[in-house]
Amino acid sequence: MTVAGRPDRPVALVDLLDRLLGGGVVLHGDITISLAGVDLVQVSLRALITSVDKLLEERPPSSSYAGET
Amino acid sequence: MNSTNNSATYVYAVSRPHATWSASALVGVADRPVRSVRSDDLMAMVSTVDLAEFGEEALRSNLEDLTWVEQAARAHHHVVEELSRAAPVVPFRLATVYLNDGRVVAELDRRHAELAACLDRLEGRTEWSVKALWDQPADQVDPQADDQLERPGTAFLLRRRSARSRHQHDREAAEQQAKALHDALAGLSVASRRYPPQPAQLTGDVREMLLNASYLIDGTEPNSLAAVLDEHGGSTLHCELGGPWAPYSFASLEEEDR
Repeated sequence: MTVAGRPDRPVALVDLLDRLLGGGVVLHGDITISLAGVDLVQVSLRALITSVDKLLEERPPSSSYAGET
Repeated sequence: MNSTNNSATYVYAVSRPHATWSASALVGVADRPVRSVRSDDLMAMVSTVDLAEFGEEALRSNLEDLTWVEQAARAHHHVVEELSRAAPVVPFRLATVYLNDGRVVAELDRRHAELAACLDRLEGRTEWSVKALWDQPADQVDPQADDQLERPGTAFLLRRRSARSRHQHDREAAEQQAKALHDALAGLSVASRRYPPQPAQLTGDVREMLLNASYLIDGTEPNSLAAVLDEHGGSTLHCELGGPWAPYSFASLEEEDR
């Protein structure tokens, strides 16, 4: 078992986004009211996945994460 | 009160005013100082932000920009964390923006009873995250791996079919185990919440995530959760406990979607 999230290790962005976008009180602020049609979680996860894809494409295949345990 | 039409008020969280904590040294989103807006016995932690960055159009495109999202998320999280160390806190969702302080005060007044009840409910409690990854037996990691090694023949096809069915069987067993783990953790918690498992693409871990959840417990020590993880983890499930988190997953108001 690993205990993560202590100061020696920054919180993973994907864990943070689960909670900041999937949790938290949702009071529709003045701005987010007009964004009501936009699912913030979807939008940001799409951004995240796109960036990860780009990152992987830029690396030579041998340095992908598979099998590096 | 914001004096121009070019700025707006970003809200991080709501708490109760208390003597020992001050926002003065905190820096929030867009490197803006953090301050508090009070109404009655509630206090919202806020920053003045530019509509050029946090207005509707800007937010729409900024949320597609991972660098921006990460900076905003980490800044938001930092403020919430600092505040939650001092007092019970109701975190707001990322990018909650009002046109001015007056609108924030109006919201605090309008939702006063629900916000106060939520603060009471979260007082003295902490959120912990648990992720369980499936440690597949090494000989089953990829039932198709030897496709390239030999030509398909009957013996090969049978072997592959049997490997696949074993793989499926083991996966189902692991899923059952993850569910039992969740049930046991939830049984010890005040509340629990499951998130969708994170794709391997985002975790950078080849192991499949079978559980991604948060648990709200009394106090600040996750010993009871840790004991359950020790009991359920092991050869099949690799478990990770994280926290304490500010209670993001459990900050909900009675009539949230009103």
